[in-house]
Amino acid sequence: MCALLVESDSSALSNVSNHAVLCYLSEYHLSTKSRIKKVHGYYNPPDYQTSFVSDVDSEYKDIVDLSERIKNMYAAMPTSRHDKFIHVEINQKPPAWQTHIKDATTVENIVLIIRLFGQSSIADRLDYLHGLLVDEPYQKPMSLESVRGFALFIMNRAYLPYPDITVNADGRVTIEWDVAGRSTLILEFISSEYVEYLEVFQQHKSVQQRQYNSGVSSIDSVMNAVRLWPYTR
Amino acid sequence: MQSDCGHIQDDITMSNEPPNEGPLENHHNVARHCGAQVISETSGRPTAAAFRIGDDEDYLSVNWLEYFHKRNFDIALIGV
Repeated sequence: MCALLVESDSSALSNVSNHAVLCYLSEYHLSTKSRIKKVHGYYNPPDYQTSFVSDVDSEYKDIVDLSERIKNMYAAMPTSRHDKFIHVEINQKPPAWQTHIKDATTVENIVLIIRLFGQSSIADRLDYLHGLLVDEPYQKPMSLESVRGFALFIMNRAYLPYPDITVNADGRVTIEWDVAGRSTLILEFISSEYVEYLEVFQQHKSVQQRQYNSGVSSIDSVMNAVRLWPYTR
Repeated sequence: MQSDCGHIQDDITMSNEPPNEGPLENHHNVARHCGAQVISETSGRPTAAAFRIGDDEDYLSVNWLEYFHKRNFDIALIGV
Protein backbone atom coordinates (compact mmCIF):
# COMPACT_ATOMS: atom_id res chain seq x y z
CA MET A 1 0.00 0.00 0.00
CA CYS A 2 2.67 2.48 1.01
CA ALA A 3 5.04 1.34 -1.73
CA LEU A 4 2.37 1.84 -4.41
CA LEU A 5 1.64 5.30 -3.13
CA VAL A 6 5.31 6.28 -3.30
CA GLU A 7 5.88 4.76 -6.73
CA SER A 8 3.00 6.80 -8.02
CA ASP A 9 4.28 9.93 -6.38
CA SER A 10 7.83 9.42 -7.69
CA SER A 11 6.53 9.13 -11.24
CA ALA A 12 4.72 12.41 -10.86
CA LEU A 13 7.87 14.06 -9.51
CA SER A 14 10.03 12.89 -12.39
CA ASN A 15 7.95 15.03 -14.74
CA VAL A 16 8.93 18.22 -12.96
CA SER A 17 12.69 17.76 -12.84
CA ASN A 18 13.37 21.48 -13.19
CA HIS A 19 12.09 22.12 -9.64
CA ALA A 20 14.93 21.78 -7.13
CA VAL A 21 12.72 20.82 -4.23
CA LEU A 22 10.83 18.21 -6.21
CA CYS A 23 14.08 16.74 -7.54
CA TYR A 24 15.33 16.44 -3.98
CA LEU A 25 12.18 14.69 -2.89
CA SER A 26 12.37 12.34 -5.83
CA GLU A 27 15.96 11.41 -4.94
CA TYR A 28 15.05 11.08 -1.29
CA HIS A 29 12.26 8.67 -2.23
CA LEU A 30 14.72 6.54 -4.14
CA SER A 31 17.20 6.43 -1.29
CA THR A 32 14.44 5.55 1.14
CA LYS A 33 13.26 2.75 -1.12
CA SER A 34 16.81 1.40 -1.26
CA ARG A 35 17.00 1.41 2.49
CA ILE A 36 13.72 -0.48 2.76
CA LYS A 37 14.98 -3.11 0.34
CA LYS A 38 18.03 -3.53 2.53
CA VAL A 39 15.93 -3.80 5.67
CA HIS A 40 13.76 -6.49 4.10
CA GLY A 41 16.79 -8.24 2.61
CA TYR A 42 18.51 -8.88 5.92
CA TYR A 43 17.72 -11.39 8.58
CA ASN A 44 16.47 -9.35 11.51
CA PRO A 45 16.14 -10.58 15.05
CA PRO A 46 12.46 -10.64 16.12
CA ASP A 47 12.76 -7.64 18.43
CA TYR A 48 14.05 -5.40 15.69
CA GLN A 49 12.23 -6.58 12.60
CA THR A 50 8.88 -5.20 13.62
CA SER A 51 10.06 -1.85 14.86
CA PHE A 52 12.39 -1.04 11.96
CA VAL A 53 10.05 -1.99 9.13
CA SER A 54 7.26 -0.14 10.86
CA ASP A 55 9.40 2.97 11.29
CA VAL A 56 10.53 2.99 7.69
CA ASP A 57 6.97 2.51 6.42
CA SER A 58 5.97 5.41 8.60
CA GLU A 59 8.81 7.42 7.08
CA TYR A 60 7.40 6.64 3.62
CA LYS A 61 4.03 8.03 4.59
CA ASP A 62 5.62 11.13 6.08
CA ILE A 63 7.60 11.81 2.91
CA VAL A 64 4.56 11.43 0.68
CA ASP A 65 2.58 13.75 2.94
CA LEU A 66 5.49 16.18 3.02
CA SER A 67 5.85 16.22 -0.76
CA GLU A 68 2.15 17.02 -1.19
CA ARG A 69 2.35 19.75 1.40
CA ILE A 70 5.46 21.27 -0.19
CA LYS A 71 3.96 21.21 -3.65
CA ASN A 72 0.87 23.07 -2.44
CA MET A 73 2.82 25.63 -0.41
CA TYR A 74 5.40 26.05 -3.16
CA ALA A 75 2.69 26.88 -5.70
CA ALA A 76 1.09 29.37 -3.35
CA MET A 77 4.14 31.41 -2.37
CA PRO A 78 5.96 34.21 -4.29
CA THR A 79 8.89 33.03 -6.45
CA SER A 80 11.40 35.14 -4.48
CA ARG A 81 10.88 32.97 -1.37
CA HIS A 82 11.31 29.57 -3.02
CA ASP A 83 15.00 29.00 -2.19
CA LYS A 84 14.64 29.82 1.51
CA PHE A 85 11.57 27.62 1.79
CA ILE A 86 13.35 24.65 0.23
CA HIS A 87 16.17 24.89 2.76
CA VAL A 88 13.94 24.93 5.83
CA GLU A 89 11.65 22.12 4.77
CA ILE A 90 14.34 19.71 3.58
CA ASN A 91 16.45 20.02 6.71
CA GLN A 92 13.61 18.91 8.94
CA LYS A 93 13.85 15.22 8.05
CA PRO A 94 16.93 13.31 9.30
CA PRO A 95 17.63 9.82 7.94
CA ALA A 96 15.98 6.98 9.88
CA TRP A 97 19.31 5.42 10.92
CA GLN A 98 20.40 8.66 12.57
CA THR A 99 17.53 8.63 15.06
CA HIS A 100 18.06 4.94 15.85
CA ILE A 101 21.80 5.41 16.44
CA LYS A 102 21.26 8.42 18.70
CA ASP A 103 18.70 6.49 20.75
CA ALA A 104 20.68 3.24 21.01
CA THR A 105 21.64 2.23 24.55
CA THR A 106 24.23 -0.47 23.83
CA VAL A 107 27.09 -1.10 21.41
CA GLU A 108 25.24 -4.20 20.18
CA ASN A 109 22.23 -2.08 19.20
CA ILE A 110 24.39 0.34 17.20
CA VAL A 111 26.10 -2.55 15.41
CA LEU A 112 22.69 -3.98 14.54
CA ILE A 113 21.49 -0.66 13.15
CA ILE A 114 24.62 -0.33 11.00
CA ARG A 115 24.05 -3.83 9.69
CA LEU A 116 20.37 -3.28 8.98
CA PHE A 117 21.11 -0.17 6.98
CA GLY A 118 23.55 -1.90 4.66
CA GLN A 119 27.06 -1.48 6.15
CA SER A 120 27.62 -5.13 7.04
CA SER A 121 31.44 -5.04 6.71
CA ILE A 122 31.68 -2.28 9.29
CA ALA A 123 29.16 -4.04 11.53
CA ASP A 124 31.20 -7.26 11.33
CA ARG A 125 34.38 -5.44 12.32
CA LEU A 126 32.72 -3.67 15.28
CA ASP A 127 31.15 -6.95 16.35
CA TYR A 128 34.59 -8.60 16.32
CA LEU A 129 36.25 -5.77 18.25
CA HIS A 130 33.46 -5.67 20.82
CA GLY A 131 33.72 -9.41 21.35
CA LEU A 132 37.47 -9.40 22.05
CA LEU A 133 38.59 -10.24 25.54
CA VAL A 134 40.02 -7.20 27.34
CA ASP A 135 43.17 -8.91 28.60
CA GLU A 136 45.54 -5.99 29.06
CA PRO A 137 45.44 -3.92 32.26
CA TYR A 138 45.56 -0.68 30.26
CA GLN A 139 42.84 -1.67 27.76
CA LYS A 140 39.33 -0.37 28.50
CA PRO A 141 36.11 -1.79 27.00
CA MET A 142 34.60 -0.11 23.93
CA SER A 143 33.06 3.27 24.71
CA LEU A 144 29.38 3.47 23.75
CA GLU A 145 29.59 7.20 22.99
CA SER A 146 32.65 6.71 20.80
CA VAL A 147 30.93 3.93 18.85
CA ARG A 148 27.89 6.19 18.48
CA GLY A 149 30.05 9.01 17.11
CA PHE A 150 31.80 6.68 14.68
CA ALA A 151 28.48 5.24 13.50
CA LEU A 152 27.02 8.69 12.86
CA PHE A 153 30.17 9.68 10.93
CA ILE A 154 30.53 6.60 8.77
CA MET A 155 26.83 6.11 7.97
CA ASN A 156 26.73 9.64 6.62
CA ARG A 157 29.78 9.01 4.43
CA ALA A 158 29.17 5.68 2.77
CA TYR A 159 31.24 6.84 -0.22
CA LEU A 160 34.51 6.69 1.78
CA PRO A 161 36.77 3.67 1.31
CA TYR A 162 36.76 1.08 4.07
CA PRO A 163 39.18 2.25 6.81
CA ASP A 164 41.23 0.31 9.33
CA ILE A 165 38.95 0.23 12.36
CA THR A 166 40.54 -0.31 15.79
CA VAL A 167 39.88 0.45 19.46
CA ASN A 168 42.54 2.31 21.45
CA ALA A 169 43.51 1.87 25.10
CA ASP A 170 40.68 4.15 26.26
CA GLY A 171 38.10 2.09 24.38
CA ARG A 172 37.60 4.72 21.71
CA VAL A 173 37.03 3.79 18.09
CA THR A 174 39.92 4.90 15.90
CA ILE A 175 39.96 4.72 12.13
CA GLU A 176 42.93 5.09 9.83
CA TRP A 177 43.55 5.46 6.13
CA ASP A 178 46.97 5.04 4.57
CA VAL A 179 47.05 7.19 1.48
CA ALA A 180 49.19 5.73 -1.29
CA GLY A 181 51.73 4.61 1.30
CA ARG A 182 52.91 8.18 1.81
CA SER A 183 50.45 9.85 4.16
CA THR A 184 48.12 8.77 6.92
CA LEU A 185 44.85 10.14 8.27
CA ILE A 186 43.74 9.03 11.73
CA LEU A 187 40.41 9.88 13.37
CA GLU A 188 39.71 9.07 17.01
CA PHE A 189 36.08 9.41 18.10
CA ILE A 190 36.34 10.93 21.56
CA SER A 191 32.57 11.23 22.06
CA SER A 192 29.34 11.07 20.08
CA GLU A 193 29.97 14.67 18.93
CA TYR A 194 33.70 15.23 18.69
CA VAL A 195 36.60 13.65 16.87
CA GLU A 196 40.35 14.12 17.24
CA TYR A 197 42.23 14.03 13.97
CA LEU A 198 45.87 13.57 13.02
CA GLU A 199 47.30 13.79 9.54
CA VAL A 200 50.87 12.70 8.85
CA PHE A 201 52.32 13.87 5.55
CA GLN A 202 55.40 12.62 3.72
CA GLN A 203 55.60 9.45 5.75
CA HIS A 204 58.40 8.11 3.56
CA LYS A 205 60.71 10.78 5.00
CA SER A 206 62.44 10.70 8.37
CA VAL A 207 60.39 11.55 11.44
CA GLN A 208 61.94 15.02 11.70
CA GLN A 209 61.03 15.87 8.10
CA ARG A 210 57.39 14.81 8.22
CA GLN A 211 54.58 17.33 8.49
CA TYR A 212 51.67 16.98 10.87
CA ASN A 213 48.20 18.48 11.18
CA SER A 214 46.13 17.68 14.25
CA GLY A 215 43.21 18.99 16.29
CA VAL A 216 39.74 18.37 17.61
CA SER A 217 36.63 19.03 15.56
CA SER A 218 32.93 18.30 15.63
CA ILE A 219 32.09 15.14 13.73
CA ASP A 220 30.01 17.11 11.23
CA SER A 221 32.81 19.50 10.31
CA VAL A 222 35.92 17.31 10.52
CA MET A 223 36.00 17.00 6.74
CA ASN A 224 36.55 20.75 6.55
CA ALA A 225 39.28 20.63 9.21
CA VAL A 226 41.54 18.06 7.60
CA ARG A 227 43.49 18.55 4.40
CA LEU A 228 44.05 14.91 3.55
CA TRP A 229 40.91 13.63 1.85
CA PRO A 230 42.34 12.21 -1.34
CA TYR A 231 39.33 10.01 -1.91
CA THR A 232 36.86 12.82 -1.79
CA ARG A 233 38.64 15.85 -3.21
CA MET B 1 59.03 -31.55 35.26
CA GLN B 2 60.40 -29.60 32.34
CA SER B 3 58.02 -28.21 29.73
CA ASP B 4 58.66 -28.42 25.97
CA CYS B 5 60.07 -24.94 25.93
CA GLY B 6 61.90 -25.32 29.21
CA HIS B 7 65.27 -25.02 27.55
CA ILE B 8 64.24 -21.67 26.09
CA GLN B 9 62.92 -20.43 29.40
CA ASP B 10 66.18 -21.49 31.02
CA ASP B 11 67.99 -19.35 28.48
CA ILE B 12 66.04 -16.21 29.35
CA THR B 13 68.32 -14.13 31.42
CA MET B 14 67.30 -11.44 33.81
CA SER B 15 70.86 -10.64 34.75
CA ASN B 16 70.84 -7.14 33.30
CA GLU B 17 70.18 -4.55 35.90
CA PRO B 18 67.72 -1.83 34.86
CA PRO B 19 69.33 1.60 34.57
CA ASN B 20 69.00 3.70 37.65
CA GLU B 21 68.34 6.89 35.73
CA GLY B 22 68.29 8.17 32.16
CA PRO B 23 67.41 6.59 28.85
CA LEU B 24 68.43 3.20 27.51
CA GLU B 25 71.49 2.98 25.35
CA ASN B 26 70.84 3.90 21.72
CA HIS B 27 71.47 0.42 20.34
CA HIS B 28 69.02 -1.25 22.75
CA ASN B 29 65.44 -2.12 21.81
CA VAL B 30 61.96 -2.05 23.31
CA ALA B 31 58.78 -3.98 22.45
CA ARG B 32 55.14 -3.33 23.26
CA HIS B 33 52.52 -6.04 23.41
CA CYS B 34 49.61 -5.10 21.11
CA GLY B 35 46.20 -6.68 21.50
CA ALA B 36 43.99 -7.59 18.55
CA GLN B 37 41.99 -4.39 19.18
CA VAL B 38 44.75 -2.29 17.62
CA ILE B 39 45.92 -4.56 14.79
CA SER B 40 45.03 -3.58 11.23
CA GLU B 41 42.46 -5.87 9.67
CA THR B 42 44.06 -5.50 6.25
CA SER B 43 47.82 -5.38 6.85
CA GLY B 44 48.03 -7.33 10.12
CA ARG B 45 50.34 -4.65 11.54
CA PRO B 46 49.84 -2.41 14.59
CA THR B 47 47.99 0.84 13.86
CA ALA B 48 48.50 4.25 15.46
CA ALA B 49 45.96 3.30 18.15
CA ALA B 50 48.51 0.79 19.51
CA PHE B 51 50.77 3.63 20.60
CA ARG B 52 48.17 6.03 21.97
CA ILE B 53 48.85 6.86 25.61
CA GLY B 54 45.68 6.25 27.62
CA ASP B 55 43.97 8.98 29.64
CA ASP B 56 45.04 7.31 32.90
CA GLU B 57 48.63 6.69 31.80
CA ASP B 58 51.63 8.95 32.12
CA TYR B 59 53.78 7.00 29.70
CA LEU B 60 53.63 4.28 27.07
CA SER B 61 54.32 0.88 28.60
CA VAL B 62 57.07 -1.06 26.79
CA ASN B 63 59.50 -3.87 27.59
CA TRP B 64 63.25 -3.59 27.36
CA LEU B 65 64.25 -6.55 25.18
CA GLU B 66 67.89 -6.68 26.20
CA TYR B 67 66.73 -7.07 29.80
CA PHE B 68 65.35 -10.52 28.90
CA HIS B 69 68.07 -11.62 26.49
CA LYS B 70 71.06 -9.76 25.11
CA ARG B 71 71.29 -11.39 21.69
CA ASN B 72 68.20 -13.41 20.72
CA PHE B 73 65.01 -11.36 20.43
CA ASP B 74 62.87 -14.45 19.77
CA ILE B 75 63.77 -15.60 23.24
CA ALA B 76 63.48 -12.10 24.68
CA LEU B 77 59.92 -11.76 23.32
CA ILE B 78 58.86 -14.82 25.28
CA GLY B 79 59.78 -12.82 28.35
CA VAL B 80 57.58 -9.94 27.13
